[in-house]
Amino acid sequence: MALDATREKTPVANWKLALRGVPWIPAFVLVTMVLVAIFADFIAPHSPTETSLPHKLQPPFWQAGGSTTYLLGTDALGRDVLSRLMFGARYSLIVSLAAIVVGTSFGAALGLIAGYCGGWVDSLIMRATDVMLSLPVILLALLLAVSLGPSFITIIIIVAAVLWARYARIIRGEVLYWKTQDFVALARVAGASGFRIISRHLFPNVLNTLLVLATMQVGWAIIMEGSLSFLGAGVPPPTPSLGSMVSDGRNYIASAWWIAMFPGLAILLIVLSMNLFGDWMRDAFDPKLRQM
Amino acid sequence: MLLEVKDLKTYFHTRRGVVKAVNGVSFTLDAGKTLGLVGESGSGKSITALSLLRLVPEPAGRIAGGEILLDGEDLVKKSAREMRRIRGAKVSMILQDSMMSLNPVYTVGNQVAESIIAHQSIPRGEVHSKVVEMLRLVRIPAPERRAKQYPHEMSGGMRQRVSGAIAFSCQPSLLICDEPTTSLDVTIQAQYLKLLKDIQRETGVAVLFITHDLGVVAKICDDIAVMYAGRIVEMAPAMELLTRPMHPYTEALMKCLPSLDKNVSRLPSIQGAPPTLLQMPPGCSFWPRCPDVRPACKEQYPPFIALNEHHSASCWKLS
Amino acid sequence: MTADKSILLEVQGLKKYFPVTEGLVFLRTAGYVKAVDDIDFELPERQTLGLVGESGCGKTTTARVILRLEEPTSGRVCFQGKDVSRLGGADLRRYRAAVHAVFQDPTSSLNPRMRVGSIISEPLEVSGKIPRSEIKDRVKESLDFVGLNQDSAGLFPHEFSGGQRQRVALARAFALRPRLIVLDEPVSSLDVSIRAQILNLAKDMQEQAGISFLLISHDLATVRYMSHRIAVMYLGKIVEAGARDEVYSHPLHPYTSALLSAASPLRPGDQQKEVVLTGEVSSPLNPPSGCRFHPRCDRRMKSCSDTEPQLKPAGADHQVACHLY
Ligand SMILES: Nc1ncnc2c1ncn2[C@@H]1O[C@H](COP(=O)(O)OP(=O)(O)O)[C@@H](O)[C@H]1O
Ligand SMILES: Nc1ncnc2c1ncn2[C@@H]1O[C@H](COP(=O)(O)OP(=O)(O)O)[C@@H](O)[C@H]1O
Ligand code: SF4
Ligand SMILES: [Mg+2]
Ligand SMILES: [Mg+2]
Repeated sequence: MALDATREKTPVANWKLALRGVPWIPAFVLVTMVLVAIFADFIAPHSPTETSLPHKLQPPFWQAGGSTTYLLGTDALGRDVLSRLMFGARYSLIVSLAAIVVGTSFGAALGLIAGYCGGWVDSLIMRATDVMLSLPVILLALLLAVSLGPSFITIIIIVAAVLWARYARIIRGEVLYWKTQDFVALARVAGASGFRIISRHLFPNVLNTLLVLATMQVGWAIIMEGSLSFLGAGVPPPTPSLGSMVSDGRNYIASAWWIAMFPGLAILLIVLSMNLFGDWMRDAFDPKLRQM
Repeated sequence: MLLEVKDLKTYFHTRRGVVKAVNGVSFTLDAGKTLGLVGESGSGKSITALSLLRLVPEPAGRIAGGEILLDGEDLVKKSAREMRRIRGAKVSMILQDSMMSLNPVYTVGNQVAESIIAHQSIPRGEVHSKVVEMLRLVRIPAPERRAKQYPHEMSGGMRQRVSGAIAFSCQPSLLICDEPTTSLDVTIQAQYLKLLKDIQRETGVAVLFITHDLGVVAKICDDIAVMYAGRIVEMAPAMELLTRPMHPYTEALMKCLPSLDKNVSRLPSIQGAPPTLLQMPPGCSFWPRCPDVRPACKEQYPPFIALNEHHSASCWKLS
Repeated sequence: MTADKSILLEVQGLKKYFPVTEGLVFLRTAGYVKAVDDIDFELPERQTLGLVGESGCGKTTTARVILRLEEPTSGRVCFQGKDVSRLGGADLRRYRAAVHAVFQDPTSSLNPRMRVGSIISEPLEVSGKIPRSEIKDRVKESLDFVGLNQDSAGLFPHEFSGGQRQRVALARAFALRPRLIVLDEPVSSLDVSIRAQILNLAKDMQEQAGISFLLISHDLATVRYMSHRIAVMYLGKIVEAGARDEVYSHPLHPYTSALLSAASPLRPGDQQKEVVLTGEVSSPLNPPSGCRFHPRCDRRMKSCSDTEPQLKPAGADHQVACHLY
């Protein structure tokens, strides 16, 4: 029998298809950010933490009083803004990615279990997410920060703690849909265990949603980290993060705008790029859209 | 002659190429008659219907050629505004899924009334009695009460009757039914077909009846046109087509249907599957599946050959 | 007669009611949808039982109870003499290996994220009956049987047409050589020209591996082609049952006659004297008293609305539930 299913599909054609419509500018921004964050040790012109009071509050090089030694100026303690930006990007990206990985895994697992099991398990998990989602985020974060003490790990835990409930919610909804599909009933007829059905049948089908949600929330996690730092509950000084830099700079916003402005811009760029990238991923993973 | 379609072509321009959904379709339909358009899914039946109403999904789809003569006027040449008037006044349509074509937030009485007001100039005060009259026409029991119900409160068969009432409220001369009974159970289907026939006898409307079900077609149609891959491959009066199919596709299709009144130990089956319209074989579109294939079939599309006054088919075997 | 055949599946007094709840906060049961209401039938080894009826009459629910996807409200399903709902441990595993299913919608039946090879091999892996090293060969064999080429194993379901997807579903159900396959409307969603291919394939399976089928369909012609015995359902009840030829040549129940009449195409010379039923199928939430068919029946008598007719023998290997007989 002639199979139209075996029509030719070269690997090259597949790649072309997958790459079609990649948002090049956001992709470029993100790749640059990541490279800078990784190689900050080598490319940063100065130490991010070393203070130099004689050079404090220098403006960027194009303004009167600025110099090319400190391209983007210095902060109140005379630290190079550009170098801090590079290291800050590293910490912010690590924090947000780690938080997302933790929050996503936890939330997805609970969502899968709630959706698959139904009944009281479902009710229990969903009431827990209700509680999480109705607590004021910042209050919760501050509580956690105070009880755990400000540290790198704390921030990751806080952000993950706020995130998981959203994932659990959305994933549960998706699972409820997939669970009604005949292939799940057929898996049960074949004798598949609950674990097998969750891991082989349900999880792969919600993975897309999960990935897209995750990219969409990277930006949110960075902002969250920023807000926490802003409130003094973030990464402890002198370690730079984009959020803490904005927060440090706010006192000087009238006199030395560059201290807060550049990290702020960096956050904006990452968030925007991530969102655009997430939009693309959502479309790219949709098999129907991909075929058009 | 009420409707004459000549060499109608409707193409879709997609990223993967041109889909010739309707590829040179011609037929005629007289007032009071029923023409059945039969074919498998994807053969272009619905697109043919939408083309008649000039409702092909734009901009991907476009009528690429041909004429649609309704009462002698070519619909292909009409402006959008003229078409809107014609759709209301002369042609109406019943679709398969009445849940989709009825608005869930209005009562069915409201929806029939809306159609009556739009298409007939009758005084406001008489609209209600007209609604009841329409519902009665489609044999809805207790029409006064039913008019106050919402679509979801009705069964599939009842909803399909309401769709009928709406379609008939503009007093069309041509009614297009696109798989109106496909989602109904057989006994309800039989009721609906009987209803359509009765109304046709009362109003003299011409019906273009689209279906994939040869059993349904046998019950309601005067003539049958069989579509395959965007073209009509055979056309004949219903009885003649069902008893003496000439095109290999029609023949094979009839043979591969399980029979209701005799035991068959093994059905002959048609090999392969209908072509995707993007990868049409050269020559006759049926040849990869045809039991009678000959060299000419693979090279050129066969011409439409008249076997007698009313029966014609396009197949090299017949020439 | 079936006395000489061993019975594979036996359904006794099976009921399945779905509670209908009411209220926003405090849910209370307002009634029951009597989807399946006290049915009995048996399916001999190596045979096909056709279960016919209009949509909503409880065919799929019956199948789901047999497949242990739903618990029966009461009654029993016995497979090789054992009550299916009491099976556990090794017995249950044996049942899962012996009973498979093919559903109506091939798109929903195949996990869109799994390759066809894994889809077919799942029952083999789960059963633990087949050594890992043999699984690949078994998948190949199954694909071969349903007429798909070997490369298909590496493809995803969306790369196939509807008919081919149903072939994959059949290949999966067949892979373990089960004793029984439940076919729930296996060709209803397929194109007319493809249906015979799939039906013939199922017949071949039965011939080769001696599989029994429970074939569920609303299409009487399909059922006639495939089945040895048939049972006609109306609103959760079996109204007529028997050997195929018996039921098709002497339909007794007025509902069966109406179904046959509605389904049969007009033939030349046929005076159109078909029975067109009036009225609609009643709701299983509130079935009519007496005979459930009486509001639509053209031969009803006084007793029809009062007493419920029981399924009684009426001729050789033929049963009907109707006061006329
Ligand atoms: N919007 C569209 N874009 C591209 N192709 C289309 C579109 N709508 C329909 N087609 C193609 O036109 C063909 C005929 O479709 P249709 O008339 O709906 O078939 P049917 O006979 O089942 O009613 C199909 O093969 C389909 O692929
Ligand atoms: N899970 C369920 N909850 C409530 N009602 C159901 C459920 N499943 C089926 N039903 C009802 O049971 C009746 C029989 O359904 P079904 O067995 O699917 O019929 P069939 O397969 O014959 O079309 C229908 O009225 C349907 O609405
Ligand atoms: S033209 Fe040839 S291939 Fe086409 S139907 Fe006729 S005999 Fe078959
Ligand atoms: Mg259509
Ligand atoms: Mg069903």
